[in-house]
Amino acid sequence: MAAKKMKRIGVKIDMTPMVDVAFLLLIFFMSTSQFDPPQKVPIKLPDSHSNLKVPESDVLVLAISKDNQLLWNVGKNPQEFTDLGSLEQLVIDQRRKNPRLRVAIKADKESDYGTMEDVMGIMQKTNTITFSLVTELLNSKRSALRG
Amino acid sequence: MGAVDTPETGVKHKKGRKRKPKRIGVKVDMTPMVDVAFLLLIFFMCTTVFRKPQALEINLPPDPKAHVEIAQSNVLTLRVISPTDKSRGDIRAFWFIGTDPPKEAKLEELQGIFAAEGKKNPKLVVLVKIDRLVKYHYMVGIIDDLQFADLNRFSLAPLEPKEKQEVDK
Repeated sequence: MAAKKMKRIGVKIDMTPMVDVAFLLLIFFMSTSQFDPPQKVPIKLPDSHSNLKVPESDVLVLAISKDNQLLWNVGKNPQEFTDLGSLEQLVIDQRRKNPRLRVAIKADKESDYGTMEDVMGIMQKTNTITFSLVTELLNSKRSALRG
Repeated sequence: MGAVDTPETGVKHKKGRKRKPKRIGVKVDMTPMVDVAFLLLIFFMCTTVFRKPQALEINLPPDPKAHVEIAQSNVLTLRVISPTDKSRGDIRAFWFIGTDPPKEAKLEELQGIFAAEGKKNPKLVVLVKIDRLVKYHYMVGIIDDLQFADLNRFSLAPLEPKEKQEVDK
């Protein structure tokens, strides 16, 4: 190709509005996103139609893994393993530390009901009679039992 | 791309007469900054989850020894077992009212049964007895179905081995 001096075409696109919008979105997503504390064991939640929100503060999250291991954490603290034997004392201690503490149980859908039964027994013993079971929201009207 | 010119900083004369301003050649190249901004934007857009997990609220009776007398005919008992004979499937459900013999029902039918029985008898109380070996999500499904049928008076009780044997055939 012969090197010819190209004629300049004066097309300039003003990028300012686009960049403005980009930054606006960036700030929005940065401020709204919350990172979950790292989970030691992945948990698949069961489905339900309940649309109550999980409380956000003062929560003791009790996780039950697929192979029935118990883990707990409060707020943004890392998860720690525990077992059914020490759970009672743990709940009592944590509730004494923070009287407004609520308990949310995050159990894997494949965990055994027996573990949940034992945990509910402990909840009753420690007089933690109201707690939430964390579930995934099912939008359709079909029963959660249908596959 | 993405370059920003600094505004012309011409010195204006007092009486509004314009003089050709002297151009100061400061150009800030915004490209890398905009690149990073977009990168972060895409990252946050991809990682943000708007859907928060929901919760089922459970209330346990305060005193485990407290007994509430309920007429037998108002109690629907549901027994959910994990059969010993695995060829019968993973899970089987049986239900009966009062002292009737247990009837087997498919899990998908439970929602309909709850709705029908709840309509027949507004005083109905459901007693759910689940085998310890049953997977947890079935319990959530059953509670969900009960709430769907407006049967908020239910209680969970341990399944006695004898009760399991009775239906595990």
